[in-house]
Amino acid sequence: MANTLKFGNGEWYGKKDTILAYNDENSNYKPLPFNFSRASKATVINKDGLIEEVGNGQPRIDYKDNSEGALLLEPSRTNLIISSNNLTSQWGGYAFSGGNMSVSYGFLSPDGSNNATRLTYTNTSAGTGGALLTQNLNLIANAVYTISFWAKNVSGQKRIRLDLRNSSSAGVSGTYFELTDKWQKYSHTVTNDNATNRGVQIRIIDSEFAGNRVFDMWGVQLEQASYATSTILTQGSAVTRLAESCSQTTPDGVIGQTEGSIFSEFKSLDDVANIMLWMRKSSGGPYGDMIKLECGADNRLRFEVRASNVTSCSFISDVLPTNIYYKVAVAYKQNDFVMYLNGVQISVDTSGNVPTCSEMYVGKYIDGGIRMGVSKDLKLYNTRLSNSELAALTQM
Amino acid sequence: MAQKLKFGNGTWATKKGSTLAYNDENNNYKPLPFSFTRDSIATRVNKEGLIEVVGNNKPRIDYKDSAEGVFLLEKASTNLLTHSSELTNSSWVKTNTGTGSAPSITSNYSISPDGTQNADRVIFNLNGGTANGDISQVSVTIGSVSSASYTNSVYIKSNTANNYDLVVTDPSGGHIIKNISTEWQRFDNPRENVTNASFRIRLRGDEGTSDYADVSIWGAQLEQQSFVTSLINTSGSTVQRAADTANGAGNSEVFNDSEGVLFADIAANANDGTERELCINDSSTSNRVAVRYRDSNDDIRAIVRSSGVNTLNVTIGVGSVLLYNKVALKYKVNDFAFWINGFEVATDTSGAAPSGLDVISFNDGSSSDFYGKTKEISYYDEILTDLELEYMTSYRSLNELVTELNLNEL
Repeated sequence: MANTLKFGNGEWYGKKDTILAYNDENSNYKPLPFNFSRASKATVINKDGLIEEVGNGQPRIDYKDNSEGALLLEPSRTNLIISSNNLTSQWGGYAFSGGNMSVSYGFLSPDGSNNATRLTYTNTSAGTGGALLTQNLNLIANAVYTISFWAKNVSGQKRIRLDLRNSSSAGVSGTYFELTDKWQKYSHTVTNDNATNRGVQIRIIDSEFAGNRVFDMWGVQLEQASYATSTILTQGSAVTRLAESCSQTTPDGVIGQTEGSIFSEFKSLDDVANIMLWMRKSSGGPYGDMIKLECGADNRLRFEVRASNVTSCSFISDVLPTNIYYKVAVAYKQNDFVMYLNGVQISVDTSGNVPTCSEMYVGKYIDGGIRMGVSKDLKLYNTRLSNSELAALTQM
Repeated sequence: MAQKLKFGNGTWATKKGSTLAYNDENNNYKPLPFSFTRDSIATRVNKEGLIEVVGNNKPRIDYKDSAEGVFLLEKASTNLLTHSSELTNSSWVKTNTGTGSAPSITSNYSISPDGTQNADRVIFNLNGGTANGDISQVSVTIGSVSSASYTNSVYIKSNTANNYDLVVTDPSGGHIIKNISTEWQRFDNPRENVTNASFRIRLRGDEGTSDYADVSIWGAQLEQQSFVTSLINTSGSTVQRAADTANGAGNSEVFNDSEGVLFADIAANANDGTERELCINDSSTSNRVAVRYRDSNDDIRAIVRSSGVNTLNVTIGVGSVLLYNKVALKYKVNDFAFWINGFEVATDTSGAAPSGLDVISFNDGSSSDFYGKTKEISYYDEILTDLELEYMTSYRSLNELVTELNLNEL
């Protein structure tokens, strides 16, 4: 079998504006670099497990869930919180009914430096007191927002609540989070009410979960979106992380023009489409001639082939449990399309044509829409692998 | 296969006005030098990693990208800052507004990237200010210029164990935060359509910078280019680095009109909107075997021209012309092929071979000067097999590929 493109699988190389795929047929190593772009800084979990800020155009290899790393591609997002780490600045609050809260800055954070905020809550009237810490913002009425933050419990009661409210406590309830003694990222999606003067409020209400508590927070983020993305650090103003793209025009011979196979080890994500690979002709519109492998926002795996504006095959899997890695392989040939997931054949189609393709995209819809990508491994073959090879390739 | 000309590949010999290509068939070493000109001094990164000034007409072998060295050719450029490393000079305005302190400057405080103690220490301080009007800044204002692309660049490092977030503006004043580490880094900010040029380094309350920064600054440059070029030192006036040229290697005994292969391992300095060519020619533009960076971004063109007619003329998009690309152009009557990075990307089975080939030049025989970095050039006076061309234009291991392309930065 001719493996014409390798990408990832623990071998991540690149620099600003470039990430390397390659071909190593006959022990001749040939670069097939993807052009990468992101016109802003961004954060990523590095090999040491620390959150690291990387510069404009620097591809992100995320080591959050595995030691081999995965390419992380995200859409543009803005953290509306204007002080994400230092909650002694731009945040205001008060305690009531016997509650008392102190807020201090300078504790060890998930980025390995002393820039987290410690909140210490005590009460003299157990079961009745509380404390609030709020950052007032100007939001859009009835829009969907996602609050996310890093936190860890230091001592005492582990529960805290985050709401979409202003300092007068007008707004929408969020949810309670139960912290652990390790830094973790938490998130919750909430729809704003019909007002605009809302923000993020950290609430400790003794009558709901009583007890003194000490906890550290860092990377508080509010995005106008239905899911949380990587942490965007702010210090004095809202910050936008711009969309990423990853694509290349591919030399002849890499993409099989009459037959081929694609393998990917990917993660199914909550509510987010993950484009593992989209290949297309360089002309004729995004959907005329294309081969696309993705896991949709509905967490169903999809393999779609279109030739001359006619659908050749369209496979849709059952809903996949999220946030775990899967191995998928698809093969295409005239009147011969097949998809394997984790060693099992799940779809077959015996009619349809194969398009000619010359461009490939990862983590991106060709029509301009950006989706997320978390690809651990991607391989391309310019032959239709046998069913036994596809089964073996996807064996977990 | 008969390799008739070698250039580079870690073997460099230069002197004023010349850089050596050669033939070593049968262990008989024959010089085939390029004539080299540059009517000014210039800088390069030497083997020790230090920035070094080289004299007029002295070719530059630059070791910034490669331990083996690359032959560097650049277009002319002028540093519009009159004191590139002397921040105590009055041309650098020290500003403090709001809570900000005027930057404190100590001359010749630290060892600079040229290995001598000539970098200035600059301490910026906002004293806790977070407002737009809280500024601690050093700056030079050039003023009104005709609309064009300009680029600011400067070397900065932290003087302490701490990293700092500092703004280095683009030439139109757009603020861009740079993370200053304990290692010297060169920061560059290009900007299009500049009509009022300036250079500013600062802390500002509402720009997300650090509150305090203790840094060394050296080698500031503001040039009318869309990209950064090698450092041009100034001390009292603006300075122009003249353009490099390298032409005239080989002779008619080296180059075979009937068939051959031109191989090059090259990178462009920039996508600069110009045509830049490396070619074997007949001392004119009429007969050529050429590889050419296009005026369009990330395109490489292969041309074989015979008696004024293009017999092969293809443009191929590559991932990036800023990365080194290994290219090989095969020519023979009715048998032409262009290889890039191990892939045959174009073929043509009809057309005449060129005639009168007698020289290889870093231009098209007349103009379209090649500005870029050359690791290696080879010429063979007979065509090679596809297996040989694939081997020649690819790498022997993933490690070699990653190292040669400087892709180990993730």
